[in-house]
Amino acid sequence: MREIDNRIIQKAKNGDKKSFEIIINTYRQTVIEICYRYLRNREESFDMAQEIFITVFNSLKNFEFKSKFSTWLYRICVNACINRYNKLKIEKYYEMDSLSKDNEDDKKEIDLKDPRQNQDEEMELVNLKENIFKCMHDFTTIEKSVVILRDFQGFEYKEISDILNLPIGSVKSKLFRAREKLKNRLKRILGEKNEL
Amino acid sequence: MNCKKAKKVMAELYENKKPEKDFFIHIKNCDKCKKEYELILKMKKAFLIRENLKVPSDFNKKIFEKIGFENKSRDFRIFEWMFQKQFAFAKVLVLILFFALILFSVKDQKDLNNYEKITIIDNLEEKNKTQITQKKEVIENREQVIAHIERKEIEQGKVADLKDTEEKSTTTQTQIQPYFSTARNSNLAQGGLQPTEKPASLFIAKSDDKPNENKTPEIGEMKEKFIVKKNVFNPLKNEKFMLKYKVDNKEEVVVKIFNRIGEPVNTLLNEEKQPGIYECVWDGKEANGKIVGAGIYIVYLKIGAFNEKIKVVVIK
Repeated sequence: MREIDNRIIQKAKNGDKKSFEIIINTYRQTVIEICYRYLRNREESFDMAQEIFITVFNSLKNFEFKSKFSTWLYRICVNACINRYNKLKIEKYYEMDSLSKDNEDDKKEIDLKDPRQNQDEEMELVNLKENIFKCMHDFTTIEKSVVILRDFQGFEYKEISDILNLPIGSVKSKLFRAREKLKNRLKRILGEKNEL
Repeated sequence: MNCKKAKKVMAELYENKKPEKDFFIHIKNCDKCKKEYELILKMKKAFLIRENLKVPSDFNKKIFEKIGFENKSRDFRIFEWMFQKQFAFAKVLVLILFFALILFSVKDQKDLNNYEKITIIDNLEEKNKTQITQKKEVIENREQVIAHIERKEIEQGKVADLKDTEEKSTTTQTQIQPYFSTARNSNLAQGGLQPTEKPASLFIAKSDDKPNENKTPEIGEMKEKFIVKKNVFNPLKNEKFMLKYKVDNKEEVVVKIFNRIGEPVNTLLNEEKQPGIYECVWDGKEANGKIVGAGIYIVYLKIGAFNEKIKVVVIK
C-alpha cells in the first residue's frame, strides 16, 4: 500500500489544496475499485469515490496520525460503500418485491452463458468474476468486505482488521467461511453449466 | 492424503502457499478434489483481473467544486486560522487586547458621564457663590449706609447723648432685616422679625411704611429686581427661604409658592407696596401651617408687570 508523507497530510489538514490533490491522486484508483466491487456500477462508483474524498476532507481535522492514513481513508471508504450497498439492497428489495436468499433464486438470477461460446480463457475468467460477484450478492457486509479487501484488493490481514475494526482471527475465520460459500456456489453453477 | 487434508491444503492455496507432493498425488486419484483445485486456481486468477476503470478527467475538479475550495473567502481562512493550534499564544494575546479595548472604551464613557455631572455641580456652586458675594456686597453697602446715617445725625447734633442714640437706633432698626442685625448690636437684633414678610427699607421710618423720599438713592443701590438668599433650606432646622425684592413704584406685589406640578402651596404676599426694598421669608410651610415635603418648589414673584419664577429646594 502506498503511504503519503505526514507533512502532506498536515498541509491538507490546514486546507492546502495541492496537498489534498496529491492525496486524491494517490488513493483514487483503489477507492474507485473498492466502490466498484461493492456497487458494480461504473458511474455510481465514481460518484461514491468523490463523496468519499469529500468526507475525507471534512473529517481530516479529526485525523490524529494514530493510525496509517491509508487505513483511515479505506475505513471511510468501506463504511460509505457498505452504507450505500445496504441502501441499494433495500431499494432493490422493494423494487423487485423480494430479494430472496435461497438457492433457487440464486440459480434464477445468475445469467449463465454457454462455455462453448467463450473459448478464450480470459473471457472465461471475466465471466467467472462476474459470477463471483453475483454469488456474493447475498453475503453479509462483513463477508463481502473481507473477500473484496483480501482477495480482490490484496490487503493484509492486519489492515483489514483495522479497517473493519475486527480482530485478525475473526477476519480470517470470516474469510474462510466466505470463500467456502463462494466456492460451493460456483461449483454448483459450473456443474449445472456442464450438465447443459 | 485423504480428501479432508486436501481441503485444508486447498484453503491455503488462497494465501499463495504451495501444496506438497502428496496433495498432487491425491488429486490424480480424486476427481472431486481435482475439480475443486482447478476451481480455486480459476478463482484466484479471476480475483486478479482488473476492470477498466479509467478515472474521468474532471474527477478532482468535481471534488474541489463540491468542497468549495474555489469559493473559500479570505475571511473564512482567517476564521479557520483562529481555530488552529499554531500561534495559540499570539491569538490569545490578540483576544485579550480586543476585550481590554472594549472595557476601556466603556470606562471612558462612564468617566465622561461623571465629568458632565461634576461640571453641572460646579456650575451650580459657582452660581451660588456669585449670589452669596452679591448678597455680601449688599450687606456691606447697607452697613456703610447705616454708619453714614449715624455719622450724619451725630454731626447734625440731633443726637445729644448716648441715650438718645440708642433710642434712635432702635427705632431705625425696627425696619431693618435680621440680615443686617448680625452686624449690629443686640438691640438691633431684637427688631421684630416676622416669618412672613418685613420691609427691608433702610429709611428711618418713624410711624409707617412710607419710605423717605430723600433716601431714594438707597433703592438704586440694589441693582437686581430681587435677590434670593437661601434657595436650598431645611425647614426642620428652622432654616428659611429669603427673597429680597425691590419695588420702584407703587405696585402690586405677589409672592406665591407652587409645587413641581404647579399646584399652589402657599401665598406669601398679595398686596400693593410702596417703593422700597422688602424681604419676604418662607419657612417651608403650607397655607395650613403644615411643613411641606422635601422637593423642588417654585416661588412666583410678581412686582407690577415684572414676574419671575424662582426654584427653591426643600430638604429634610
